[in-house]
Amino acid sequence: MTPKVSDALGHIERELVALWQPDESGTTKPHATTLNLLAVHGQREPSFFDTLEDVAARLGARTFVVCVDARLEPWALDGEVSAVCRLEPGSAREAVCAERVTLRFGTMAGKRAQSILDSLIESSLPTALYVGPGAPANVVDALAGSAGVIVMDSAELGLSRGARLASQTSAVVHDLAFVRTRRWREMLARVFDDPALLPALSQVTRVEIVHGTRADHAGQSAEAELLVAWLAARLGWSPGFEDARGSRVRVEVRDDPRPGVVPGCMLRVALAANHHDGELLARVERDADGEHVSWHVSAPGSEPQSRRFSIPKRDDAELVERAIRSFRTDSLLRQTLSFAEKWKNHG
Amino acid sequence: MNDNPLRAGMLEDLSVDPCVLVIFGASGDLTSRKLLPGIYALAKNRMLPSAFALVGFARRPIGDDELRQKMRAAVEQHARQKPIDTAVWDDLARGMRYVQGAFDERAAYRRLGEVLEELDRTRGTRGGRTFYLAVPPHNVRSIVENLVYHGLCPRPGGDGPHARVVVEKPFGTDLASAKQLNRELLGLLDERQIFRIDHYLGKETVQNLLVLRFGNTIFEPLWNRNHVSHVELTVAEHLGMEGRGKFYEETGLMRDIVQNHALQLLSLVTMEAPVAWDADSVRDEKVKGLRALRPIRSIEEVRSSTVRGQYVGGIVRGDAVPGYREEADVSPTSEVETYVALATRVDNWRWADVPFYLRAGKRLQKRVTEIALHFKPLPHPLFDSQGMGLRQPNSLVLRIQPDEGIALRFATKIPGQGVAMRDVAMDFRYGTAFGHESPEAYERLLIDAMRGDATLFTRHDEVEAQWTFVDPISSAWRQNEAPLVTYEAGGWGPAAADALLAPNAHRWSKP
Repeated sequence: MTPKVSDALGHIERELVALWQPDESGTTKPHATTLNLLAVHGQREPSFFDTLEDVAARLGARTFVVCVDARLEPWALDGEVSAVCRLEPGSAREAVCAERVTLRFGTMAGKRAQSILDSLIESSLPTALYVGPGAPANVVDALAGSAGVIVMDSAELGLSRGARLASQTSAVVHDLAFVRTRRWREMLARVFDDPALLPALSQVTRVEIVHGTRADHAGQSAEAELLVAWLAARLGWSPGFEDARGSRVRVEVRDDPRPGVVPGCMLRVALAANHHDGELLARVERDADGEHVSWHVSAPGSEPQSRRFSIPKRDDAELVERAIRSFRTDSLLRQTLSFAEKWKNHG
Repeated sequence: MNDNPLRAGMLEDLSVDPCVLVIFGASGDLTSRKLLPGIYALAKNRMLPSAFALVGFARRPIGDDELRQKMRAAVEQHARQKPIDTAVWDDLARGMRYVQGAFDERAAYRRLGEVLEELDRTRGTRGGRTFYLAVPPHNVRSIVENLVYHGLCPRPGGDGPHARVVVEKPFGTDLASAKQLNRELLGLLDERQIFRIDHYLGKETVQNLLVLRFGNTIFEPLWNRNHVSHVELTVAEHLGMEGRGKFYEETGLMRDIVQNHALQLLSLVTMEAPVAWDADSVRDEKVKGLRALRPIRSIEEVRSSTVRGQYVGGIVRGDAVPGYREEADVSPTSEVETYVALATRVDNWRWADVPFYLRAGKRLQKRVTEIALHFKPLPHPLFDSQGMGLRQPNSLVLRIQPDEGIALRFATKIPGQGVAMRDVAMDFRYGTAFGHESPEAYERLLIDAMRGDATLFTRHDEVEAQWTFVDPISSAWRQNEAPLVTYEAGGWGPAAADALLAPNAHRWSKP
C-alpha cells in the first residue's frame, strides 16, 4: 500500500529535528538558517545543482529541492533530509550547516506541493523560489504564492512564460537572462551619456544584435531579445519597432554559430542613428578571449572613441545570490518582459 | 546624465556617476593596505562605474607603470578576495595614472588638471572627481586650496559633475584646531563636498546598530532609562604600538580612539530616531546625542569620572611583551595614555540617570569592540538562580569586531525538576548568518563618497561636539591633574577603572 503523504511528511519533519540533535559525543552541528530556498527543476541539469549548492551555502538557506518524478505514483511524495555543511576556511571544521530537503512528487503535484512546503518552510524566514531548467509549470505556479522572491531564467523558461510568471505574482522577480544583459545595457547607455550625442537617441535607425547559437533553440537568445525589448521600451517604440515619430527602426537579431561561444550569449550589439547631417555608429563587441568587450562610438562632430572593458565570467551562483539578497525587483524587468511579449504577439 | 533614458531605472550598484578617484598620498601605507584593496574589491564586485579612473598623487618620482606595479603588489598582499582576477585588475590598471609632485607645488596641480582632462576624454569620466586625502592633517589645507585655485574642485551647482574631498582623521588635535580646520575647509568647499572619514562607521555592525534600533519594533521600546540599567562600551586592542610609537607619543589613545571611534559608537547608541535615512537627518540626531553627553570639566570630575592608564610589560596571547615606555620611539618617561576609562551620563529624557561607561585600550587581553546594554534587574527574584547573580539576567551585546554580530542574553530554565535558571545567549553572527564576508569598511565608505552619500561620514558640528566633550579631560591630563596609572599588558586595564563603576555597584563585563 502506498504510504499516506502526511506520513511521508511526518517522517521528513522528524528527520529535520533529528539533524540537530547532539551526536554520540554530545556535539551538535553549528546551524544557521536565514532563508527558505525552494528550488524547482525538471531535469537533472548538473550546472543547476552546482549553482544551487553554491547559493545555498552562501545564503545559509534551508533548501528544498523539488521535482516531479513520473516514475512515482501520481500522488506519491518521496523525501530525503540532509545537512549541508560549509567548512571553515583553511580548516576541516564545520563552520555552519543548513538543511537540505529533497522532495520528489508524483505527477499530481501542484497544490499538494504548496501544502507540503508550507508545512516545512521556516515561516519566520523569507522564502525565495529558484526556478530551474524544465521546472514543471504547475509546481512553479503553486509555489510562487509562498515566495517573496522569484528567480527565474527566461533563457531556460522562455520569454512568454517568464513574462506570464512576472505578471501574475506580487513577489519580487529576477530574470537571470535580463541580469546577464546588464553590462550590455550599461555599454549602450554610456554612448548617450555625452549630452552632445543624446539627441541621436530619438533618431535610432538600426539595431543589430548577434548572439551565440543555441543548439536547442536555434536562432533564439533570451538575452538578445530582452536587450531589444529593453531598448524599445525605454525609447517608447511600438511593438512593430516604430519610434515616437512613426519612423521604422530596423531591428535584426541573429545568431553566430562560432564554436566555443556560450550558447545564447551576447556577442555584438550595433546601433546606428541619424545625427546632425551624418550617422552615429555605436558598436559593442565581445572579444575573442570572451573576457572583454570593445566599445566604439563614432559620430559627426565628435572624436571617435574606443574602449575595452572586462566582462565578468558567467557566474550563475553569484547572480542568483545577488538577486535573492536584493529583495527588490529590477524596475525595468517587468516593463521589458511586457514589451517582449507584445513584440512576440505582434509577430 | 539624468536625461539619458537608457540610464533610468538601472540598479543602484550602477548609480555611481563616472568619476576619477584621486588619491593624495598614493605611496602611503593607507593607500596600499586599505584604499587600493578596497577599490579592487569594488571593481571585482562590479560596484564601480564603467567610466572610472584612478590617479595617484605623491612626491615620489615614479611613472604610471611603476604605480600600477606597486598597486598590484599591494592588492595581491591585502585583497580579501584572492587570487587576483587578472581581467578585473587589467581594466583597473588601464585607468591608473600617476602625478608626481609636492602637495603645495602649483605646477603639480596643473599637471593633475591635464591628466584629469585626458581621462575625461579617454575613459569617459566626464568631470566627476573624488579627491581622497590620505595625508597628514597639516597637508589638508594646502591640497584643498590648490585644488580650488586650479578649478579642480568647484562648489556644487546644478546637475554638473561632482567634486568631493575625503578627509582622513584626525580632524584637528583639539577643539580650537578642529574649528580652525572646519573654518578653512568650509571657506573653500561646501559641507556637501567634504567627507570626513571615520572607518568605524563603515563597519557592518555599526550600520546594523541603526537597523537594529530603527528597523525593528521590539528593541526601541526598551532602549531608554526605564529599562536600561547601564551601558558599557569597550574598544580593546591586544596589539601595542606596532611601529606607531612616534604617532602615539603625539596623539595618545584619547585622540586616537575615544574622540572619534568611541564617541561615534556612543552617539549611535544614544541618538533619537532620525526623521529620514539621509545624511543630515542621521547626523542631526547624532550631534544632539553628543551634545547631551554630560561634560567632565572640573579637575574633581576628571579625577572621579576618568582613568588614564599606560601599559607595562606583560603577557599577551602567550607572548611576553614590553611596556609602552620600552616601545620604539617612545620616551622612557612618557606620560601618554594607552588606556582610557570614563563614566558619564547622557542628559536627556531618554537616558537621564543611566550610567554610560566607556573603556578603550592598547595591549588588553584581546581585540574586541562591543557595546553592551545591561537591562534593569528583576524587581523580585522568583526562581532559583543557582547562585549565578541572575537578578539582572538580560543584556544586549553588539559586537563590532571581530566576529561582527549581536547577542541577547536572557535567563532560561535548566531542564529537569524544579525551576532553576541559567543565562543563555541568543547569538547572531554575521559571518555565519549570511555565509559570506562583510565588505571592508573602506569599500563601503569609498563607494558612498563617490556616490555623494555622506550618511556614514562625520559632519563638522559632530567633530566639534566630540572635541567639546574630550578637550577638558585631555587638558586636565596634560596638566597632570589626574594620575597616570599603569596596567599590565594582557589584562583588562588598571584596577582604578573598576572603581569608576563601584558607586553604582556595576562591574565591567569580560567580552
